[in-house]
Amino acid sequence: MGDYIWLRFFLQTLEEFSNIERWQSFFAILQEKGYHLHSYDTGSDAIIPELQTAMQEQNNDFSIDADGPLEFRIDFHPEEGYLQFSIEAENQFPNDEQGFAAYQSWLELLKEMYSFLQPLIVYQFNESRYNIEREDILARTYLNWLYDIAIYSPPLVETIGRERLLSAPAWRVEAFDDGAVLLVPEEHYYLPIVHNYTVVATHLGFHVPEPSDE
Amino acid sequence: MSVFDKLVQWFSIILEPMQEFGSHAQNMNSIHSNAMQQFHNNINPLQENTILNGDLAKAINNSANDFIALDLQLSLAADELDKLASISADFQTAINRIMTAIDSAAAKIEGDSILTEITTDVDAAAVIEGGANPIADVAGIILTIIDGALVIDTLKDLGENVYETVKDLKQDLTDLAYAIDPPTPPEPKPIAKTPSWQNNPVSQQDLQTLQQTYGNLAHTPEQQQELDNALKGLLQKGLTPQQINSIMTKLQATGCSDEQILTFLGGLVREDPLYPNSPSASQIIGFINSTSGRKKYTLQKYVQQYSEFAQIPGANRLLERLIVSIQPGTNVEKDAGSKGYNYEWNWVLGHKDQIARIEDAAPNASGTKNEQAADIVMKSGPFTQGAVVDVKNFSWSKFDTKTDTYRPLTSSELRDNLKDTLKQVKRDITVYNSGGHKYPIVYCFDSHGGKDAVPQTVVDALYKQGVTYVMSSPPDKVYQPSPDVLKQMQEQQAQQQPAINNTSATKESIENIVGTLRKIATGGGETPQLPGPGPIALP
Repeated sequence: MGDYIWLRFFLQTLEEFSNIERWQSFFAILQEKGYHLHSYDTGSDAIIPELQTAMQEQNNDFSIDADGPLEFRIDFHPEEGYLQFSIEAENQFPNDEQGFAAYQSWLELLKEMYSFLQPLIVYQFNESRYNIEREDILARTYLNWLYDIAIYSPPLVETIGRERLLSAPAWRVEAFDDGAVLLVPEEHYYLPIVHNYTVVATHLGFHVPEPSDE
Repeated sequence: MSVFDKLVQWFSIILEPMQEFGSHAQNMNSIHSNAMQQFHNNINPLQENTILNGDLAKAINNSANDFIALDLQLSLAADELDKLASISADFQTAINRIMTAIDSAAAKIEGDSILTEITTDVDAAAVIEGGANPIADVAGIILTIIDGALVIDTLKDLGENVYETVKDLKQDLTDLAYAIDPPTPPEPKPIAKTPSWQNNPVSQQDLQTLQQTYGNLAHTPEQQQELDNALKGLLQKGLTPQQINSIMTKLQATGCSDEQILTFLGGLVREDPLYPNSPSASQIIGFINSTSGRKKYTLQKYVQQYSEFAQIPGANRLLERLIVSIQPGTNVEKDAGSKGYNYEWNWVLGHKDQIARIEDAAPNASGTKNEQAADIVMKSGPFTQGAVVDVKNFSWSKFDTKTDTYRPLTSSELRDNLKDTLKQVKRDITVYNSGGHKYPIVYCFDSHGGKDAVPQTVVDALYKQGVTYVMSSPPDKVYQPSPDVLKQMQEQQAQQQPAINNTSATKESIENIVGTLRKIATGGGETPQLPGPGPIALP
């Protein structure tokens, strides 16, 4: 079936997309971790010139494949204001010990990427939930949707309530040095083992999915 | 004897079987036509009996775009009625071309000593003794002739002419072989993992008590063994006797037959080398509990339906995927994982008689871990063509809380979705179509009850990437590429054709052709199983 999960990093400003030096540093971090980065469209390793051209032309269809300890793709969406990490969950996080370890390393990578990019929010896209957009984030509205993975920046943490977040009965809750909070409701490395979603959403006062008898 | 006569005599070992092929083909064609006619007569009941809820049958009656007519190309199959006759005509053309080449070569050759030399390489009488398999025989003979002819520089031109003829014939022979019996794609070999739960000790007392309690489910020694294995396996996976009793009570309450329950239990304690420890005890309990109180996704449905396709290799992998994706509290319709596997489950159920394998897995490029390959591999045969099928339950919309409705994905989201899917298409091509035969690659999207159409941008991108058919179901519907994309695809095909012709005279491609002929002649073995001198090294 091949399900993919998408992690969106909403950057603080749209201008950041044009900061090529910053992207060079960002790519260098990934390369140091053993990732080979190449253009999705051309396969070329010379990603900086391609990125530069794409950003100048405001072409939002630029993507980079990252092959290394994990395999994922980075999509640049300057118009919408986010960077997206796409990973094929079924293959990267299979339902065994190796898959679980891979999922843990994925979370660690996301945390490091957060620390470098310092975005407004990181969250996992879900077509059945409301996927918060840039204007919502800036207005601090529609924050009451729970995602399978989320990292809230300090301003959003304050809006939601630090203690409320940190006391959530989630599988993982972690406070970052800068005040951000990582929230992963359940041990959900692709396929859930325990469903805490409703419990966590209720605790946070977020949207609680209606029970289903389908 | 003139040079011309000598050459004709020499080439008689190829010309005569070619001429004989016509009479073989006439008989074979008659049998084949009768079989195809019978096949056509059986089509309607076949469809009605194999497609879930008769959706496909309905679609066939009501739509010109139905699965059979377009996707599985019955029209192509119908063309095969005349395929043997067409091959016979090809042989006649080949004979004519070879005769012309012989005439031309004869004029250039002044003496016949060299011909005497090469005829010692060929045991014509032995060759002619063959005949059980006209296709293989002719291929084998042609092989011999090419090898013989190419050894002699003076007959190089003649050899090349024969080679060109053989090349055309080879294509027809291969097409014919695949049309009559298209193969099933070879199964990839995933990295095997050892199950750890099978080493767990079991309380013999607990096992015996369970065996006594549920012994009535088994009616044959084989079933008794199945039951024993399942109960032991559940204990080894860590379920307590009380938990097993609870599961058994729920299973028996489904009203399913003892055999169906046994089959389902066997699926729970699968010994698959891919993810042998899955599902875990807690996942099994979670799944069984999650079905309580449901109206649509009931335990009865799964037990009953699993027994219908459990015999297909890989069926237990799909059951495992389903079990771990549906847990208590899951809103199946809104959960990407469980929704997807339920869609695949229904697709398999609806096409079970035509499926060869489910949930293939293959090692990744570096050989360090397994990756998901095709969801479904169809059986061989003119109807299903060994197609590689991936099913997708994509939503082309997303929830918008501001309007409390679902709205279409943005163009960038659609592109991201496409990039993910195209990566899978590339992998399918690598895993299944790296060899000589190109298996059809089918991408089938959930129509969500006929409500959702696949966006044309997605259809076009998939065709451009090499997908053979883009479909949605239910009901089964095949999407066509847009005219521009179709034109591009045709141009690409046209460009590829001359490229093959341009290199045809090279030794490498001659060796390739000869190698292929050798495979046809030998059934894949290294040594031809044909009468004659056997393979001769190319110069």
